[in-house]
Amino acid sequence: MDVLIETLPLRAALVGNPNCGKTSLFNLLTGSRQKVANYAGVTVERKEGRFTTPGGRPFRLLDLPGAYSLAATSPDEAVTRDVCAGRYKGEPAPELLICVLDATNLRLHLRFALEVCRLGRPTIIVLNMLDAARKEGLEIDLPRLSAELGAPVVGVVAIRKSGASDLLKLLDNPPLHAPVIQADAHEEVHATVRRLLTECTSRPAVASEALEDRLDRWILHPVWGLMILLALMFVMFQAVFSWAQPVMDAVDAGVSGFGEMIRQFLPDGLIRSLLVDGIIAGAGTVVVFLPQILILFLWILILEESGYLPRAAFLLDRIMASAGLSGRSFIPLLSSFACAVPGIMATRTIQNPRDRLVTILLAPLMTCSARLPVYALLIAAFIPRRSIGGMVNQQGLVLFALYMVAILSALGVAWVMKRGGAQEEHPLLMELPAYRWPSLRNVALGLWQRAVIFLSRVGSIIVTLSVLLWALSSFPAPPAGATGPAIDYSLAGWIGHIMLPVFAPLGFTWQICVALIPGLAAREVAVSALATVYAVGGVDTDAASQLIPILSRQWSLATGLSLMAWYVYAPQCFSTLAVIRRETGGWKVVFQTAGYLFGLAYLASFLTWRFALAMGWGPS
Amino acid sequence: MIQSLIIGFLVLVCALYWLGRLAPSVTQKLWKSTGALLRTVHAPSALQTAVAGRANAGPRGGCGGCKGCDSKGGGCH
Repeated sequence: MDVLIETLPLRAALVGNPNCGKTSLFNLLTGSRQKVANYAGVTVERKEGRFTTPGGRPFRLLDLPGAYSLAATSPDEAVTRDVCAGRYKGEPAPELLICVLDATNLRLHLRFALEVCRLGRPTIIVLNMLDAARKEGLEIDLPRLSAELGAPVVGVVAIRKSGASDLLKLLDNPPLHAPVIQADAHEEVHATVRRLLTECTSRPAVASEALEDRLDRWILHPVWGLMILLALMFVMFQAVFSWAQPVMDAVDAGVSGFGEMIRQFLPDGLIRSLLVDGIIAGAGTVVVFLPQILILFLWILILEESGYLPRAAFLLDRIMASAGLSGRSFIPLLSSFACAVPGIMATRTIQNPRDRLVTILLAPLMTCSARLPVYALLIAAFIPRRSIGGMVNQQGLVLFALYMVAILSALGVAWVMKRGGAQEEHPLLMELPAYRWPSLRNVALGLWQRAVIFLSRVGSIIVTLSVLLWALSSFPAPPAGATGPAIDYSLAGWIGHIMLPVFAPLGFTWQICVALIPGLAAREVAVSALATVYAVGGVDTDAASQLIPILSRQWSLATGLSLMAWYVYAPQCFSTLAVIRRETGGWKVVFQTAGYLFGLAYLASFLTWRFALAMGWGPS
Repeated sequence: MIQSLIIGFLVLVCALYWLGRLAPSVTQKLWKSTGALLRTVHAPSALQTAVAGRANAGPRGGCGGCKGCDSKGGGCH
């Protein structure tokens, strides 16, 4: 019987305050690669992994969202509370709780640990970031703390490969009984924490906090702090265009060379057309933008790792409050710059239901990475590559402006949406993490994951849509004696011409209309769709590398600007709509979101087109 | 002729992929019917198992970038 029990995986759950390193520990133990960052609220739902201890005991480990208390105030904290209490649907109560504490912030984290210990379940206390605590001069008497809490206490450094060896040893023979806290039953929690800190820790008087404080004096300054934030964003977008070009040129040459090789290798026919005009023209055009996406994420990851982002949230709280949003909306909206799907899920950290709904409605307005290829293509086609004053890259400046327009529009929309509701005050309570040098491993891993995500989207969504669009653009074949391009007689041409009356007031061509439909699946597909349409329909079939000159030749600047304006607001992809439905539990908000974004996109494009015509930038 | 057949097959696969993403309930019915047909014609068991796996698969979620969130109906974290 004992053998049977030891071979069944023990159900353990990682709990703790936000940003204490639960997910880092989860990744270390299970070998997973879940997202970690140096700010609170990254994990918003339970995640599961498995591992076996050196002694051969199997574990099923849950990583739960961070919580400041088991009296939950937001949907993500409710998940933690319910799992710990054994009330989470479809999830039996964990047999072991592993309570993770940030050793550098015991005053806050011990409160939660005491709550967990009082749940009456076997518990292990894990002090993470023990190295950082020692660097600060903090000495923690682990055996004494263990005796006081009545539970085993171990120290770990979750970001180091061998940082959890003591914990793994302990997990070979985990505790089977609930902790017995050595405290007077009437002792108040804060008093217990104070007593534990006095009895179990010692910190020599040091003045090493001065550097962090000095940095914060500048970074959190209402004026200088905002200037630093704007400067960082500005440099980030400059880098996207300035640094990426050589690598993009190399990828572009590779894609063109591959297309040329296929063209020479295969005889003229349907398969060659599908490969060259459909798949290589479609997917190849999008792959070229990978270096720009990676540079953008390099900046975001460095800012994330360093602990700067929560400070940016703190800085923007006043601006966001003026639009009726709370600072808690910042992290979900920031996540939406990568993709609106995790951004919308991250709104679970927002306690106020109305704030959460408004943040969900705003998330698709943030410029997700899928828009970057569209912007990069249009900017490269219509904005000359030159520098202003010998320093500022004009293309980077336009990209910066497009991101800023989206942010300002989101603030405007939030202001309008919040006007109808009661104005409640929601003070921002946010834990500012310590500054850290970005870990090269984490940054490299983050970039690798981004590249894999991007390339898998190319390999699945974009390739399949390119094949379908190629088929729609090639069939039916033109009748005998037809003189126009074959695509004019195809289904895609027919659909484009049917849509044209609706989009002609925006200056769009029928080719753009064709690209708008697959662009709903994923925005970057609009780029591959344009490449396929022009490759199938054009005389020069090398659209994979020639799309930029084709667009700048065939479209006016007014059309290019109008399409950029469309994509600032363009209705979001199907995945985003699906996640909105799941998070709000109905279709109402889905229709509201799609409706208002479509309206805004149409209006912005129309105004941009009319303005550009008035400026003389229209078709000659 | 062979070229047309290959192209037709590829287009069908891509169309099924997108049908599965946009209307999973429709594709599930389709896979179930195909599974029943394969059993009737005594198709190779490996093929039957593969189709049965598709028929019983839950809806895919997330942005399509990876499979890390499929079981949770979407979201990277």
